[in-house]
Amino acid sequence: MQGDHDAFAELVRGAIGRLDTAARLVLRDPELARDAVQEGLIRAWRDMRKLRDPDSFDSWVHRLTINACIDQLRRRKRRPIEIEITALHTPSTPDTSGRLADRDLVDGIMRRLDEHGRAIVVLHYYLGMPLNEVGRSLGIPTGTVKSRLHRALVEMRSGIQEVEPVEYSAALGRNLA
Amino acid sequence: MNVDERIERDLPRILTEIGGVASADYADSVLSQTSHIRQRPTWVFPERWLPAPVAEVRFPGSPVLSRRLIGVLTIVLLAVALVAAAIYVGSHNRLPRPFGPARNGSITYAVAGDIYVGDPVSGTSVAIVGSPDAYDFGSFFSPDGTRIAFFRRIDRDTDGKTNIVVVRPDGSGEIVITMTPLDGPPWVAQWTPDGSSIAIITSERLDAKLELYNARKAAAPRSIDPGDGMTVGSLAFEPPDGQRILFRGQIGFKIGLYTMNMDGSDRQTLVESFATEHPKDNNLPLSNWQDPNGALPDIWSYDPAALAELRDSAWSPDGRRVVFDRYMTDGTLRLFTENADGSDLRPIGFTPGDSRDAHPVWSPDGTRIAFLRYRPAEGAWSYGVVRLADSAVISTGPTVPGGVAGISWSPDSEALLAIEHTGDQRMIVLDAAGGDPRYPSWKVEAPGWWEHFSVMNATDSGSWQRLAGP
Repeated sequence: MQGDHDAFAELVRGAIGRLDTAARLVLRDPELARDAVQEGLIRAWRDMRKLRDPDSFDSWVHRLTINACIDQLRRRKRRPIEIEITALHTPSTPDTSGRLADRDLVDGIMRRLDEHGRAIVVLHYYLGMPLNEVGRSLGIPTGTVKSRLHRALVEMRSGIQEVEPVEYSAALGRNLA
Repeated sequence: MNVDERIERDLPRILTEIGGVASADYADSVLSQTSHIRQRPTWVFPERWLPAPVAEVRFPGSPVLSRRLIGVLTIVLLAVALVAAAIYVGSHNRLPRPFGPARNGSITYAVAGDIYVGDPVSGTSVAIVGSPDAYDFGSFFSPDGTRIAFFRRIDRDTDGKTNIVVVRPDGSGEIVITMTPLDGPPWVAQWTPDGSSIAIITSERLDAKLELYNARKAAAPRSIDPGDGMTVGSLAFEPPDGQRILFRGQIGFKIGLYTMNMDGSDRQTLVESFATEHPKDNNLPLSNWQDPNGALPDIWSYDPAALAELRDSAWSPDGRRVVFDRYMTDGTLRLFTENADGSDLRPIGFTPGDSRDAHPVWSPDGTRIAFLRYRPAEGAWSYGVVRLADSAVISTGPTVPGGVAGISWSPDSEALLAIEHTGDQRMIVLDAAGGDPRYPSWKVEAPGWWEHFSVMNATDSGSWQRLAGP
């Protein structure tokens, strides 16, 4: 038992950073994110012996954590008082490169998405999950995943194109041809 | 490289920057919890098995029974049957009434997909249901304490299709009562007072349905429609027989408090309908707000402050009065009681200052109402009990910064049961008179819908078992 737990601990330490970031992106609340990650990892520990392929641990625990996030959001909806959700990122140093504009744009769009929309963006772009796996993880058709992702990208694209091309390229550290 | 390609390339980095970095002691906290949790053994996961042939075993030869022996056995079996019937009848007469005080029994709760029953006095608990392929949650006792209903996800790891399951308190006699799984966990679920059915409100959306499921067998549900396109958003059965219900009804943006018969007929108004706030999310006009998939908007996507009103309405145990919450013009949320015909409106538990009182729960003995108080300046919840005889308010238990999943009374009206939204999600038993709280040694899960089992039910037959008195 202790040997198993030591091995699990090593996997957890390697994964928890990304899980926490993913949960924060979906829940937009560090404390709720922590609860969701804890819940996902506890489930993973309890059912670890169900996992046939150890190499699939990461994708499996990603799925458990994102679903724990969605559970958290469902619980929060039922409270009579909403806690105001603020922007997640608070840069501590002045950002003159324009990267702040990118973060503001994406952060604002993520705030407007519902929990499934945020989960789709996070699972695919942050955790690197293929779209069909994203659909299976969330229990929705792959077509729906694609259409919602497309809508989010359209918003991001229209927001970016409002910025001067020179500023954007400077933010990315490149020059336009 | 075009804009789309740049977006896709940079999104992972941007999301990382937005999301931030985990704290250093985070992993240690998780691992300290898992080190005390037992893993499920491999054999409980069917996908890890190789199916074994089942061999039919036949025992050669069987004894020949004489007619005399057959006769004796028949008489013995009949005698056993008569004794069993007498025991059953005797025990059946010792069930508690569906409303009013009762003796405290066990507490049911869920954690990590399993259903538990625990003794709040000794602190011991036992898992009564645990399915390796499905996730079980949201357990609640029938009013007579003889059965437990809970919910089971079809896919253990995905919050989606859900069945309703009924078992005895020892976990035996499992029945899945949904012929077709629910699309997801229901917004509200309650036993009818006679224990024959389980009523659910399918979702928090405007297209939600109020349905009755037979609690003893799988059958198609019966829908209850209040008419006029009204959506039912809460549910409380009227004492003493539950033939009428108290509910929050919504048509468009107007909500009101109503009663009606269980077949949807004879709808009466207790609180006249009033318009709710506009959608709060990004301040878009309603006409611009719609789900990207074209589905109806969630009720709770609107201003939750306004729509919290009337949600936690409940009957007094004698069925003569009701309690509900309403917003005042100063932005505070207050509790009110009135007669079942809408007369004699009275505020209760009022204290000056910026606070919001919600989740009123009437004690089984009818003398007090417990509630939760939120103070925005402090950012924390606290528990309160108002004594109806003199309107005195007692504070009990700790403040809970993380919020509470809900409260319910013990059947004997002496204690309150709550599950906190802290990281540990502790279950807490509070002294309704204000004494020291007690924490059973159980780690629990608090699905959001648990609070609805607890707070919208005058019988408090949520998760605390009711037993007949001595």
